[in-house]
Amino acid sequence: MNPRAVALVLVAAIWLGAPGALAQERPEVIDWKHLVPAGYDPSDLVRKYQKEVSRLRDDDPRAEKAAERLRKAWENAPVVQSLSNKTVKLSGFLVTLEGDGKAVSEFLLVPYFGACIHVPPPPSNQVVLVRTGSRPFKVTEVFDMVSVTGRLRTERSSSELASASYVIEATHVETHKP
Amino acid sequence: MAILALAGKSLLNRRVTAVLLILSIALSVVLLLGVERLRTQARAGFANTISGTDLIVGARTGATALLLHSVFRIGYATNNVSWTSYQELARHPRVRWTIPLSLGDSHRGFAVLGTTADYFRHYRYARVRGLELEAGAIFDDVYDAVVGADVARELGYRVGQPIVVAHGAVDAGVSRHDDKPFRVVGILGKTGTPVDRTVHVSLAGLEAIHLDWQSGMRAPGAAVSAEEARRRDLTPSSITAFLVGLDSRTAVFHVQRFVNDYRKEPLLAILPGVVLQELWEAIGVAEQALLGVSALVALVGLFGMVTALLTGLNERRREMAVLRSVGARPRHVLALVVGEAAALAAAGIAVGVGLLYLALFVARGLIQTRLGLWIEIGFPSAHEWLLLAAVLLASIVAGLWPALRAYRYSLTDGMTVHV
Repeated sequence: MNPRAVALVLVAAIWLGAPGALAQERPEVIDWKHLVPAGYDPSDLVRKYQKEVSRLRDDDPRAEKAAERLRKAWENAPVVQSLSNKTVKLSGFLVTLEGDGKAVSEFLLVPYFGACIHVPPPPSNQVVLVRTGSRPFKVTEVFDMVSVTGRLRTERSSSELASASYVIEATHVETHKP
Repeated sequence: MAILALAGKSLLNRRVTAVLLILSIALSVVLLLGVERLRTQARAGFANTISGTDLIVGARTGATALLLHSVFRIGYATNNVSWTSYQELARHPRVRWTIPLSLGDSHRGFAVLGTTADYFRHYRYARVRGLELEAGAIFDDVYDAVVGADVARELGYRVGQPIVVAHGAVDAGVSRHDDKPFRVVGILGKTGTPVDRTVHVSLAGLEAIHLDWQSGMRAPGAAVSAEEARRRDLTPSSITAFLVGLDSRTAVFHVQRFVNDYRKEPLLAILPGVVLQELWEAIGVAEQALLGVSALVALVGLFGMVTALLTGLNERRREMAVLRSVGARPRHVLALVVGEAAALAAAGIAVGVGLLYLALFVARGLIQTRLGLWIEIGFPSAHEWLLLAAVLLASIVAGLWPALRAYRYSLTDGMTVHV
């Protein structure tokens, strides 16, 4: 075959194929609201809960029951399946799970500061488990604000009662510069 | 090169000073690297003590206090967790496993921990390592005990050995449960965590020895024999704390909230990773201070070298003149002095590293016993190499001062010296 033709075909193939290949690598920058399926609005539940509770005292058992219902709904918030296996970039606050004091190898990413002490805690589709694999991330302070880039997955828990949750296998974690 | 040979001979002539200089640099290197080693080992050992645990639950106290006494056996619990509350929380739908912990007694300076077989199944440290038995088996009978590696080593225990547990944190021979001795049935492998310094017994065993004890002492006239105790109901009424593993790590905030809001008893649930991080940050200041101190010591060592070189220069002016006559230019003299400083520092570093390894081999056991810290002896880390390089560089820079002096002397003196 004509070597010039071969070269031309190769160049054309690369030129056409490269953007596709690169697009695969480029992470999609997402926001916390993308993790919530369309039509599911947690603030609906909160509004309902607040209406019920505003007429009751704090330690009224009915208030507790209402809080219980809200809690159950938030513990099992649905996930967005279409995001599964996408490479994404998400920013949030880091909550250490496993580390050696200097660097963390496994952490939770949450949308706001102090998610552990806040009542109620964020719904389960607003908490992402991040594994840093072979490159632990050096933390500078507790509850660091970071940007995580990696492959997003939805993982089923070992209990059938609970809904799936998000996991990111991070390729890149950096301190977030607002 | 002839000049190098001459320089070597010159150094040999001043060998007493040279040896002292090398020693002083060596000692500062030992301190610098030694502190660095201790620091990194302490941090790693500390943070690696517990892994794979989603929550630690205890009576309501401070987060750090709960972590310290449940995992590190430092400090005391202010209150207990009732058995009923523990059972109810363990039945929470998101909880996959729990490990109950009961602390308070001791044995010859080592903490006694009452727990269940699940401890050996689920406890993890250093990310993925589980507890392994070096000898024997885990407890089966009420009076069985499994001891940590250090307990066995320091007290010379073997499988089958009977041991007596003392009431309270100090084993002074006064409040011993000597009517109900335990028997060592297993010895754990080394972990480098507080597990090594713990005697593990079953919850039933701990309950049995306290059956006839009231308010911290043996109730008179109501003695229960060891055999009689076996036949009683040995379900504990309370425990000190428990470790929790969930079905999904993202559920941790919900379960934590559930425990913290639990109305029937004031309890506290903590995320060990977060509290360890906070604790280490608080201690981190001391870490930095230690590093600062050892850097200062290295600086003092270098000052000593510069002083020695400077004061020796006057005597060496004739030597410089001789060198000039042989054909050395003033810049060669400068290079020689700097080279000497570098050579002394390099020798000091080599001797220092050697001394450090020697000291570590010798003192490792003692450090382990006194500080509970196990120092791994391996090649210097990248960070340590960097520190050594910094010392070498600093010595070269420091050597420039006497070198420049020597340069000026050799310029003004030429080949004849007028002292």
